[in-house]
Amino acid sequence: MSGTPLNEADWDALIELAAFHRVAPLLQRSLRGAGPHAPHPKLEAYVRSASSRGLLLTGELLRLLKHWEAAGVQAIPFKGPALAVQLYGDPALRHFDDLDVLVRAQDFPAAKEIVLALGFQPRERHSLHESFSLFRGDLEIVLELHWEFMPMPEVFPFAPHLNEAWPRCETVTLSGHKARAFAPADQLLYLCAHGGRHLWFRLQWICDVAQLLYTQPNLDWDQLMAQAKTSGGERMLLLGLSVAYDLLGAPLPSAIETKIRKDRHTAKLTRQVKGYYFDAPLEIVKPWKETFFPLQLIDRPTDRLAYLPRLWWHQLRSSTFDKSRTSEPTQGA
Amino acid sequence: MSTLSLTSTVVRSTDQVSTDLGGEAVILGLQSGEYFSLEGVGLRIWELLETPHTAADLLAAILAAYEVEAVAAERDLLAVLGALVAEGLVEVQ
Repeated sequence: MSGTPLNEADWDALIELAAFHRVAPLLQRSLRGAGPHAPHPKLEAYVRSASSRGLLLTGELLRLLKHWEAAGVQAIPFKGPALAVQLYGDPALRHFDDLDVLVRAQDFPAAKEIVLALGFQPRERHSLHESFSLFRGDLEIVLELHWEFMPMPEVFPFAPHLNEAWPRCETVTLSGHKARAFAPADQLLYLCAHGGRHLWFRLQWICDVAQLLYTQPNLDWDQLMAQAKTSGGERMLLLGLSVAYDLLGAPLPSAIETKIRKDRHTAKLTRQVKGYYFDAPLEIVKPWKETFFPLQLIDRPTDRLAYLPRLWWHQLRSSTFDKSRTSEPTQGA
Repeated sequence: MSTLSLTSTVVRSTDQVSTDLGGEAVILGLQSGEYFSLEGVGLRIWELLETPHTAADLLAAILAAYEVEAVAAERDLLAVLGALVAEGLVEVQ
């Protein structure tokens, strides 16, 4: 970094960019004690505010986990504070706006009842294909209660298979409380599926992959690649690894590095992602791009052909059918 | 409420969540819903309290790191710990 201090306008632009990419806490931490680039008070204030909010959500998550545990409902918090602790060791180092928790389909009705009894209400547009949206008005907290990992699993056929991920779960300690978390390999596949679906447009998602690779030097790469291949997610995994490696210098075994560099498809997609970062830094990805980009991440040609019809069928169903109709699992599912 | 002394073993309570802002810890008490901020010596104590320590250990750490007079330091430490316990952020084991 050069020694020229940033001016006020530069700081405003930097903070806006960091906020968009949800990396303000990481930025602030990196800049501490950095001389002419020591964090500007505005950045400090923004991070304090975002971090305080993060603590509030973390506390609420712990409350929910405690009640579910008491009722015998197994829950896996993913994204949010649990991922922050897993990757960065601090619940507020990832900026997050809501809580995401996965429960087993058969536990969903009980899990939902518990949440409703704890002061949450269903949101107006509450039901997506993989989660139910709840809202706690007094604290303005949104909880996405998932029974599925990824939306429309038959449209995006590369999410890690759920039933296999549950038994591999690990424990993380969230402020002295034990919580379930996905095993690092499953976490990596999820991050690549989620990021890839969204064209990697938030730097935070790339940071998460890089940080996971940095903190998990002993991943079983043979198993990981085999798993990705079986679930049709090899391209999606390679792209995630490639953007983390290319943009952030994430550590990879040399065999994987070579594989990524030699794969023309991955190289092309990586260039697209980079182009987005450097040409259009604050643009929310246009809907048509978000529709077509994941097409390039699907391994199997038959799945690729079926992707658009399946996607449009899903969108048609959600728009024409009664919005209060849900696809949530009911008792006895 | 037990009286704090140098032989008391203290640790962060599980009824709080906290984050490190660099030079400052922000703590949210989950029972009270209140936020607290610790800097300087208070921050150092908070960092150490991630694992259980006796108040005597904490005092030794403070005396090693800061130029303070021992009697005053002990008094201030017990006062800080007392406040943290009263707010439910620290518990006595």
